[in-house]
Amino acid sequence: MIDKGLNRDLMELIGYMITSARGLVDEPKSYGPFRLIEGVSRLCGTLAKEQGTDRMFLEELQRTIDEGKFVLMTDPQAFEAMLDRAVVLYTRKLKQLEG
Amino acid sequence: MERRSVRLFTAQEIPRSELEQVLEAGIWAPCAGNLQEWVFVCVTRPEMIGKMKVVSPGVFWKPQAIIVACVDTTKAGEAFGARNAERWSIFDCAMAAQNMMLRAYDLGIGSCAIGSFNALAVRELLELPQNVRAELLLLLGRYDQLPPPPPRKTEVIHWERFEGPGDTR
Repeated sequence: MIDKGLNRDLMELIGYMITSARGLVDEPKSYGPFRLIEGVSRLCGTLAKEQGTDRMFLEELQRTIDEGKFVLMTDPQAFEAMLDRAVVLYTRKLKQLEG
Repeated sequence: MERRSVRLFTAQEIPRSELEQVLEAGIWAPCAGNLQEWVFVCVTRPEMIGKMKVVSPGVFWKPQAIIVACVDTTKAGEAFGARNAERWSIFDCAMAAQNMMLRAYDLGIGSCAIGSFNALAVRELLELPQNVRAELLLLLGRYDQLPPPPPRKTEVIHWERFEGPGDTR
């Protein structure tokens, strides 16, 4: 059962993703990575409200993304470095998963 | 030259009288043939601003108001013809938007022009008629601080004639 709050957050994320997909057809290529990682940040924020043991991981991942995402236009290398940090953070968590 | 694009706004409300001054500045912008084919929809209700944000990937924080700068495509088409209607009406919207952003700055209101939004979704939300097309969102809100100015490319300015490498393709 999805509660009302989570349902609204996910509905809004769907809206962001659909309109991002449509917009990216016409927008600069560099916007693509930004829209994707922003979607991840928003998803982390939504899931962090629900997940018990994974909350710290989700919050850390969201924080890592949010701290580095807005430099895309002014410092592309720093943006790439943020993406790499997010990948490493995520993969370390993936390694810990059983099964 | 002090105006900056502001994306992070405070929760402080903007009085309607100030929004009216901003809109007034928009309709005094220059426009092709004095056609005034623009249409401005000012959105202030928080729930609608929230829904606009959902369908506008370029909006990250909630502003206090959004002015949707639109074009009456029927009026533009009749005056400029199909070939030039889009070109002139977009110029006109852009000039109106700049006027509004400068007036907003005078009033201590931050602004940011946003092109990353879904025009079809905005049409649905605002019940725009088929001949009114949203071109630009103008986010408005109070701010704590202006972002630092990014560097400008001064080499784009030429005097009397073009000087430089010429065709850079």
